[in-house]
Amino acid sequence: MDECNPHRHVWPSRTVGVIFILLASHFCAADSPPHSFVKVEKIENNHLFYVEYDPKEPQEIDLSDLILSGKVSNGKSLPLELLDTWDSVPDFKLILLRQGLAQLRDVQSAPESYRTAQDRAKDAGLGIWATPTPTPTPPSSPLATQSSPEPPGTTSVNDVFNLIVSSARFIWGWIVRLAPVGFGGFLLWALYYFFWVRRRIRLLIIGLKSAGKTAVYWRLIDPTIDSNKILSLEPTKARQKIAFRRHIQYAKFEIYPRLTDVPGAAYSTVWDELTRFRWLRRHAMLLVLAPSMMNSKGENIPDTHYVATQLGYVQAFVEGSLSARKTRKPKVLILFLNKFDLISSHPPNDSAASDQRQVFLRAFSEHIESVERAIKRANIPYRLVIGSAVNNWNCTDLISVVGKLLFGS
Amino acid sequence: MQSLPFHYDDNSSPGCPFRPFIVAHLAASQDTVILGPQSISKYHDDFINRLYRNFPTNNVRDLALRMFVYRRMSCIAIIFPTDQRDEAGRAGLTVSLGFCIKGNPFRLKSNTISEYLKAFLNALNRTFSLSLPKSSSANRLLELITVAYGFAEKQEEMGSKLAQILDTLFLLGATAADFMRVTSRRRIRLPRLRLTTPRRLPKAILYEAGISPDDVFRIFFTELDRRFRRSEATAIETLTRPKDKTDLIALIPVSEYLNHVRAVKLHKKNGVSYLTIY
Repeated sequence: MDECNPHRHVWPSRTVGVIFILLASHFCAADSPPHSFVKVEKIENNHLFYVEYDPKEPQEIDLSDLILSGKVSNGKSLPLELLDTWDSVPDFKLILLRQGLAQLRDVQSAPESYRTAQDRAKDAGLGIWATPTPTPTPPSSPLATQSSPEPPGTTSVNDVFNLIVSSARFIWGWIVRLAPVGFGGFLLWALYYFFWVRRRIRLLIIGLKSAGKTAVYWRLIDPTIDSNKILSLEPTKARQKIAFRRHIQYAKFEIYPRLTDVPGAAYSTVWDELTRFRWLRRHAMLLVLAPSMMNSKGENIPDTHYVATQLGYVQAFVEGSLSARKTRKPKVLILFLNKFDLISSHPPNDSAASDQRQVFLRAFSEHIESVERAIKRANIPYRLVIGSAVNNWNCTDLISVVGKLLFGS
Repeated sequence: MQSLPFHYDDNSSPGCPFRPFIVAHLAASQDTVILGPQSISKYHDDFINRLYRNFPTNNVRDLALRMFVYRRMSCIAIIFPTDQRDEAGRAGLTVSLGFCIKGNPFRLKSNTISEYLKAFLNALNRTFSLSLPKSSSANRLLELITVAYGFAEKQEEMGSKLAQILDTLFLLGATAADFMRVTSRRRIRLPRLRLTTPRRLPKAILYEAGISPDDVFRIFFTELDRRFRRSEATAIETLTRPKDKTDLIALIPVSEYLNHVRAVKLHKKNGVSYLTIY
């Protein structure tokens, strides 16, 4: 069935949906505040100011026991080592000493860790401990560096570089934080789509032979099928199944029907279908009844013998299976009175066919009573539909009727 | 005296691995096993479902050959279309003849299976004055069965005739089984044959329209008379129907086979071209 395979038309829209959900989840998540972190703001007048982000105010540390380098003490920009963010407040003095950005004022009274950090910076020649380049006026002491002017332009280059690095770090941090949110959003969307929006309805079509089950089956598969093709259908020899690959839209749900057609005389196959996989409920049972075996208009319509035989079928299979302990109960039952075209040239919904409609209902009154009795006991939603598979009267809407009964209006 | 349907005991001829069957469309119960072993009649509808699985429900005019596995038996059947109509006026009634085989009698260069099928057809032709596999004979056979079902006397007459055919087939099958056992025993000793693995059974064989039924049978038996994997099923269909003038691709009527195609081979044997789909 090529008509049932427009699979490639579904997937692009689905992919776009996935990407949209992914992006939406990113943007939504971006509005939420990040967790707290510590950031250094400035160093001024022998004081380092840092912010413990969210929600505390700037805190300060007294740096009066340190002699700061000129690079740090001018208050214009922060060195790279202090541009990082931390989860908890680090020992900033230790950082400054380790990087050679400051030296101890009183080495003797300073803690051991500070002295070690300063010695290491001194050995490595970092910051103020760097080997002085031969210049006309080399600084006589580290204190002199505090007031030495830096070459113009250096600060602005550092600023740009710092800005780029900090921006890159900020973006990367957000990417790392939001990745699980995006994946989780996609997963939720996939679960929602595949288990809630997409619905597979299993539909079992039963009825006595020549009632028009295969005609309904083909009409559901291809609503545009030619009537002559339906009229020239041969007796179904074996159970046939089909799973739709295209969906039928019903409200927000995408219904993928799975049809099973059973030969009319294969009673044991019907029971096999009704009792197989007891715990999986077949979603819908479609019982097809017809006033005659013939497909052309005649005098003997409704055929009383054929109609009476169908009553036995209804009692055995519908009343029997719905009340039996070990059968699969359908969630929905639809009684489709087929071949309305044999007694009327107007569709059953037309006011011109109201008399014929009454004749039809009278002919199947006992069948309808039997079905209603059974569904009342089993507490199953039910719908009576009059139509014709040949003329496509109320036939293609059967899936929507099932959808309405299963998912509400 | 036998009446119809004639369901014989599976152990009525222990030496014979063949279990012949006939399936025909009857008005009351549609496709019914007229003649067959009790192991099949016990699961009647299941067997019918297996025999006619994926069989088209529109415009069946061509002879079809089926092979499938049913309850650990390899079943081979010929499905003859007829021109008759059922009581609702629908065309497409069929008669199916075939047999089930227990075990794996398919040996290289052995034509036992095809010869047995031919013998089955010949026995029916002689007994009921038919000329199977011609389609007119299938009509006649279905007519005979339908009439026999209507009258008790004719039922007994037909039942006894079928019993005679069955005896002949059992005798033939027992002889064939002896031959196959001898053959297989002799071949197992050859080390080169141990290396031969069962080949995959074709999913479908498509042949040119208009060729004679004898040629169709020859093609089918060529594929059949070799060892194969038993879990597959096969069918044979015409590539183009005689009255249609459409092109090759559009007319391949076995789309369900083409979904799982692994290989396609074009063969030419005795001037007849055919395409095998694996």
